Amino acid sequence: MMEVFKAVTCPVCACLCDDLEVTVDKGKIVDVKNGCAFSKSKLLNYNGKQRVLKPLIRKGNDFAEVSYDEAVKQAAKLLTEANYPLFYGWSMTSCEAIRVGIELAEEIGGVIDTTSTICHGPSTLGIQDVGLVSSTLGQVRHRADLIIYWGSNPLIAHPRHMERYTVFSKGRFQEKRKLVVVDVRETETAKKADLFIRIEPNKDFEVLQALRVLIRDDELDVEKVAGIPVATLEKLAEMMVECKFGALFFGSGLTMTEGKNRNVDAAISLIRDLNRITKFIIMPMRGHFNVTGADMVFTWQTGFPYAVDFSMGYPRYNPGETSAIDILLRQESDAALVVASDPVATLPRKAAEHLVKNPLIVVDPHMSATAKLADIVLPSTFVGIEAKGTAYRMDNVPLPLKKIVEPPTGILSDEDILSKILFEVRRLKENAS
Amino acid sequence: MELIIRNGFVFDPLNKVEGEKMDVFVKDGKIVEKVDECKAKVIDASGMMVLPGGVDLHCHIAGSEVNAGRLLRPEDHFKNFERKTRVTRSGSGHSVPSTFTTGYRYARMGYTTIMNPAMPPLEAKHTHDELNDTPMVDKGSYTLLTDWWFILECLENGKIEECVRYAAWILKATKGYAIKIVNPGGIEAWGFGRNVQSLDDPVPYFNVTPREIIRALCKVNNWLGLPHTIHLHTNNLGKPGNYITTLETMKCVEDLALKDKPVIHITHCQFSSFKGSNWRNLRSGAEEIARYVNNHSHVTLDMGQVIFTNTTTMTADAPFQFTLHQLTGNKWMNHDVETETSSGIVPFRYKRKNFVHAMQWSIGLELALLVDNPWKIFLTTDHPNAGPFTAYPRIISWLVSRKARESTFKKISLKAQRKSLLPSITRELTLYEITIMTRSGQAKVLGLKNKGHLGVGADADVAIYNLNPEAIDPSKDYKEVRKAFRNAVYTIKNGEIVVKNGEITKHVNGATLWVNLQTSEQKLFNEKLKEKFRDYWTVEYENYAVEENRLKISNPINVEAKI
Amino acid sequence: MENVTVCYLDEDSMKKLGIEEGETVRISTKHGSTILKALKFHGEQPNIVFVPYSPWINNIVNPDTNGVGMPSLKGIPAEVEPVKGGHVLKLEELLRGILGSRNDGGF
Repeated sequence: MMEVFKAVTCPVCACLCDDLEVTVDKGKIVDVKNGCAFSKSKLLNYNGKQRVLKPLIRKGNDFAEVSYDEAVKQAAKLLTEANYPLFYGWSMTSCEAIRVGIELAEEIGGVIDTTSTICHGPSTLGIQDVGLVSSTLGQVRHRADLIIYWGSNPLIAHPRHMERYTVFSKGRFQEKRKLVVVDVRETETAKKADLFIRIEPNKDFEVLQALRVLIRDDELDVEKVAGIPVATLEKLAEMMVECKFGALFFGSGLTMTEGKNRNVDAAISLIRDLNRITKFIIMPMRGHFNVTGADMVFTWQTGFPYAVDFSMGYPRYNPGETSAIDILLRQESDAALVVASDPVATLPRKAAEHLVKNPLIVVDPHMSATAKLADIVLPSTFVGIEAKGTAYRMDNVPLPLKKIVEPPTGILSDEDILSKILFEVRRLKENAS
Repeated sequence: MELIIRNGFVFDPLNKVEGEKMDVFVKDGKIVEKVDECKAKVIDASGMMVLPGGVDLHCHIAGSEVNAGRLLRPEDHFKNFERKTRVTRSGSGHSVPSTFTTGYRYARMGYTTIMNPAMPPLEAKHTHDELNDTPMVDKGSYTLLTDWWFILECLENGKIEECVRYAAWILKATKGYAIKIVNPGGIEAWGFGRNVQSLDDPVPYFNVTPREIIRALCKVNNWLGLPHTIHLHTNNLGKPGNYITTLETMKCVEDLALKDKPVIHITHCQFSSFKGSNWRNLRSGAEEIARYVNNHSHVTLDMGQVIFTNTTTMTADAPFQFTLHQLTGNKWMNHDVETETSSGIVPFRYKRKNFVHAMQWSIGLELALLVDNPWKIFLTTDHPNAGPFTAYPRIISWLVSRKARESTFKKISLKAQRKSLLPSITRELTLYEITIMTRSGQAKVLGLKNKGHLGVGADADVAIYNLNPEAIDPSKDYKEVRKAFRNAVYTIKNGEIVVKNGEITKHVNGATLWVNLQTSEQKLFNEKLKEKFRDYWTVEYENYAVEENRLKISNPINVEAKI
Repeated sequence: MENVTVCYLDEDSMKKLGIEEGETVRISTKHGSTILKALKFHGEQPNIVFVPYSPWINNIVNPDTNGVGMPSLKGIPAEVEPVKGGHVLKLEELLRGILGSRNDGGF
């Protein structure tokens, strides 16, 4: 029996396109309409060779297959015995699972952090300094006549962003828009731009501040800024001032380079200044499909968006101190639970080394690089394919993730696994007191 | 579980009980006539006040705007946190507390029902997810309908019946409790960075005016028979001279009044009662507003009382928030929502010595004291806009005691002291009137039949305060009053003791209240809506609505709509 | 994993450094070095080597968070040199390296 699921939300990137049509035949996804290449690749191939189908516990150099009960028991024991465990990941699971994760971290008194910490964490710090002038993506689609991508390459990283929300979309008030790309290299997106400005690496801050001067009709007494002739920047400033509704999207090109949160600070300040003249919004191009949702749930439950330390019994937040990389580099954590991310593949080597030195529990559908080095691996379902839940788009719009097919027999969702661990942790604490 | 609340001074204005010494019986979450005295647990309330649980009809506690406020302000949370206990979750925040903390703080003050006044339809799931995580209280949310394109287009074409259908659909889709209107017309104008200045300013690109929007939504509200009135944040809010706009707004729906029932609620009225033409010659318009309200029965108000503290302002009135950002230079969040609404956030500190802030403080109290009938004006701070809700006990003390007012008054800006109407007002509200303003009146205007009173059949939401109305004189002993209302001796929610001596003893969830409109078959209408959907929004029709099973505890209020 | 064991240089840089398309190169920074296969980038990208994010390069990024929680993962000064027939590590080899310091010996 062929079955077609409509309005399926794509569990890949934070564009969260929710117009996929997925065809299922005999419990298998056989076709994906409307999705981008990433979307198709994930939905058609998620159930590959790397799938873990049994909970695993390390025995020397090998893993032994165990029951969920056994793995959960061991995991709860490791976590309760630890003094300062780290709960890391969360950007590729549902808000429902994240809720349980926060409760677990609080119950144990550990630190919980998301992958924002190595992606748009600096954006959050920038926002906390100066605010954020933003909107939902539909507002851009309906109104924007100027689109700027800065340190971001949507054609590769967010393939349908331009088609659904910006340059190639159609809205109520706007159909034609100008595209400006600012990057250190001539990306695929840059090749489509009306104006491409190539800047020297690590010089974003200077360019943004120069633009803040130019939009106020002040003059710059230099020839070039970051390798760009001032005349080019004047042209961009002119476009910004003249547009009816501008939108600047920035990527990790701002957050991962020198200046970090100060770059974001400058970018937001530029857009804020522009609102005295015209209408302009700014938005970070968030990566994983629910990294925004993680920010949201963290914030409403604790007051803080990431890097939350419960070791004092209440939420503390101080990125640089309570953030995952810093804790790992200072070699302070003594156990870790990793959910829905692959820190061994993405953290700087020194941080990853400390992570694997201590008891490590991984909840993941796949045998990720991190899972390969774990003590306990708890296989889970793919949320948005085999389990339902909620995710937030990069513009804070919540969308439902659907269950389209059954998971492999006996495989539990992140939410269920975490609930089981929490239950077991409470039982252990109860017994101890 | 059965309970006897013995020997307290009961204040139950809806049943005309004013401080009588009597017993209250509780069984299975309801107030009952009698319980089995052998089995029931007895609470000795001698020398204490027994009130219905507090009701707050306007507090920003959940959803994308509130959460953006939390995100923006770590400095608001650093020194204000709550530890995890055996029964409670941890949390943080002074003016924008995290969700669990919000619920606990309300419960400690004896509040049991609270309403979140601004829900952007597209982000309704977010609001409800946060309400699910706001324990201890029943709660609901008002759907922002003002400048939704579907409504504006219907009005352009004079199609009021279609408007009613759209409103019915979206209230149900968002699990909303009431229709919220914010700066009508101004929000759409803000889409291109503009605003409207009067009730008759045309909305850019749409051939309608704010007056037409207000009148239409008032008609829609009547047509649907919603339990609450339209809930309105006026045009020109926060601008000198705006009391004229407020008077015009109230007047413009005069002819839509249904007998003696109110049809419009002007919220956080303090912000809309400014006289004068600039900030230097700002004066109070409270007298004029109060005179109008005293002479008409179709309006209710809430205070939006200013508290001298550091707080976070947040409204769907994004152009106003931009002005506030320009005025203060403080950091600024803006979030426009496609085809529907917008929002803005700016941190703000109200200072005693600042003339304008001190005038605002005065205006809020003037309104509450000059409106004769406590069923027409309710105690709020428009949390957190004029101050956090935790300041309610302080406001109560100002209302019941001239002495309390004077003690603050002498510390405010001298210029404001000269211009304030407060010294001329001798009225001191009674504890009975306070009961109306903090629960019974609010429950009544919300149309919550089982809340705000202690009659048989009411929800067993009860607050017991350590205050002996026979032994104290609130006017003199205002500090006692303040202290008593800060921490309930008992808060009883759904018949269970959840707070004892100001401490949470049990974490309960509380239900989400929403209006379940029963309409005639809407199939054709839905098909039409579906066709337009992708042109208006960037999400799919199928993914827009909030399913009932998203609500942790759903409490639908069934309403037969005449459509 | 094949697609992340590469790096991209523009034509000018390749010429200048004497690197052939598909040849292995060593990328060295203050923090470490790695060997990857070089591919040509078709566009302007002067004096920049672009590397997809992976475990193959997490030893050459700057782990210092400057007290804000975020390491520097882009815009890192680096040297690129051709290494004829260089050995691009297999994932297992890499992971063994990361696990190296663990007491119980790893897998």
